[in-house]
Amino acid sequence: MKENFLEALQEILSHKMRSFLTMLGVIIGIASIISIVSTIKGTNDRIMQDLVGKGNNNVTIALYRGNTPVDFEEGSISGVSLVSSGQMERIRELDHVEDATFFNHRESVYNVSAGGVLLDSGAIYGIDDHFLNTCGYAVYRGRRFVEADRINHNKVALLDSAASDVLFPGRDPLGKTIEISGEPFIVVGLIQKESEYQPAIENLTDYETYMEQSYGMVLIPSADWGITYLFDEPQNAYVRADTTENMSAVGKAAQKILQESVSSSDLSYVAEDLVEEAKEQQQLTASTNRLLIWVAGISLLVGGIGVMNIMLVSVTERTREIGLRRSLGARKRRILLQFLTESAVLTSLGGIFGVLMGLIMAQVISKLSGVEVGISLPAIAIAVVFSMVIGIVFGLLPSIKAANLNPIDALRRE
Amino acid sequence: MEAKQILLMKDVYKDFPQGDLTVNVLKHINLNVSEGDYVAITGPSGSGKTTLMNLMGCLDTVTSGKMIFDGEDVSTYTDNQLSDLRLKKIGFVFQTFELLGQKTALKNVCMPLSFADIPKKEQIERAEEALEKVGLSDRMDFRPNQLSGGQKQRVAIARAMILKPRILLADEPTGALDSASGAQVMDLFSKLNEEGTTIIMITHDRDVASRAKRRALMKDGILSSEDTALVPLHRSGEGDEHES
Ligand SMILES: Nc1ncnc2c1ncn2[C@@H]1O[C@H](COP(=O)(O)OP(=O)(O)OP(=O)(O)O)[C@@H](O)[C@H]1O
Ligand SMILES: [Mg+2]
Repeated sequence: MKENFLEALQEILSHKMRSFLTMLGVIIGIASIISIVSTIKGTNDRIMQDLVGKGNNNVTIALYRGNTPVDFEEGSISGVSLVSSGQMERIRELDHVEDATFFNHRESVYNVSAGGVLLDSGAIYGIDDHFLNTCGYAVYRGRRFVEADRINHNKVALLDSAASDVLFPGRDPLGKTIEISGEPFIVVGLIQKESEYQPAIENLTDYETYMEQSYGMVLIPSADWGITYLFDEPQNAYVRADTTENMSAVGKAAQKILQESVSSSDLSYVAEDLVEEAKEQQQLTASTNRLLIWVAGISLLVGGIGVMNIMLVSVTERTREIGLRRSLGARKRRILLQFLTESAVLTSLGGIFGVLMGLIMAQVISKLSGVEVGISLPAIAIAVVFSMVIGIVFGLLPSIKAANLNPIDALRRE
Repeated sequence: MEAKQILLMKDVYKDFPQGDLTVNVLKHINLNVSEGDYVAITGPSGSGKTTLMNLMGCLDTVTSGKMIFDGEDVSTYTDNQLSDLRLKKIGFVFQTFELLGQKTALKNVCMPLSFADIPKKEQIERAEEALEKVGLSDRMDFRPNQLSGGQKQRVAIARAMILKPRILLADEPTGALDSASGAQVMDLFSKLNEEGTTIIMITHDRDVASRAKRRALMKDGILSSEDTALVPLHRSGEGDEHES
């Protein structure tokens, strides 16, 4: 077999130009498929990363009215009760749940100021003891909220560096006072994302998204929420799953438990299932590209027919050689294998070149369009095996023809 | 003491279909070749010599009659059995050498060994030995287009003899050679025959034929006995009338 292979390789190399032109169809077909697949994979990886984030398997479960999240700014909500500590415990004890936090929040911070300086953008959260852990924040200066803060309704706050930079430019915010809706709160600590939860920042868009998310976080104990916002508000939840794969399931289970608090028919808790959403978006890009793969497949078919054509020519040209081999004692099967090997080696080489060209093309596409590319090893393996199969399928007819040549007629040929 | 019989042809006919007609190329052939024989067959062009050789070499089957090779009736053999028989018991030498151009002399000689699935290392050893024997130890890695006609034919003989066949069939082995290299090839044949190889050779050349132990004449598809071989031989081998 190894000898067959080497002989085939030698034969192919002895007609370099012809072999290359014969391979061209396969090369182009495989190169297109590889570049498309790499682009799909790159896009999918990107979507997954954008939506789901890296290392953070948090599912947001938010209260919805119809298809939109409830805006708590509009005043008190009826038809839903507060999440009980029993519900919270049950959610934290669900399989695959690492931690869960229940919080109130606003996306507008017009009411936050320090010494007349307004926090122009950011978000304010009323948090429980699990918030920092669930969301991956750490207190890097000062202290976190403690039991006494809740019991005594201490008006204390935690800031991220963005908020403290705006409110206390160039000054140490610890121990200073900020006002939330006119109520004074003492800054007791500063928080930042733990490094393992830092999103990957690779370009300007990433950076902007990151800055938006981290711009001006103000955290106060949930016990104080009523002081600033006057009403008890139903909480939303972040639930952290152990793996990205389990996010959907965890989200659904938690959503079901939270739904028990809802008595109104137009309200519902909805798990914002980013994995599902990512998958939908991935499917969309994949289906447009699948069409392209069909087109590339036609190029492979044409390439295969080209291989068959050249192999038939080669059998005719080498009739005397075949006659000689047969007269020396080669069985039909050996002749068949000889030509089949040659055809398979030819197209496999085409496949390998095609993969290389496809990877280069993918890089070029990536540079030109800014779409990321991902190298899919299974796709490469399948491409090479598939090109070998093309060689075997389209080489079969010429090989059978070669094997069935009558040795005397073959030797008589001029 | 009688030598062992290798090839027996009895009342053999060979026809070729030619459109609606059939051409009777060989008629009533009777031939008996024993171990150690050295037979030269002469005859005019188109008389059926190559056709006979193809039958003897088990490349073709008889239309009627009987052919016994090494004690076995080969007329019922399958294609695979015939291939194996050619591989192990028959050596061919052709007028036009039939070496593969992209292979070295050594690799050409290796071919039958690889068909016999002999390990690579042993192939090389045996092929080197065979080439040494035909005086080409310094030409092993040459390709055919780097060799003279006589050298090419000696490579072909080394290839034919590599598996120690029972019989060596040569169709005009000197036909494409000048007289000096032709004589070298004939010396080699004589040496092989002395060592016990049975040889059947087709030739146009009276001098070449005279080196054989027995001579037969083919005329219009009829093979006549050694005695008639004394009639003047057809000399002008050039005017080939092959139909292809
Ligand atoms: N496959 C075939 N089909 C039809 N006719 C054939 C075939 N093979 C040989 N013949 C005919 O048989 C006759 C003998 O041919 P053959 O090749 O045996 O002659 P030859 O004696 O070897 O001649 P030369 O000395 O020129 O080589 C020729 O007339 C040829 O046309
Ligand atoms: Mg002839």
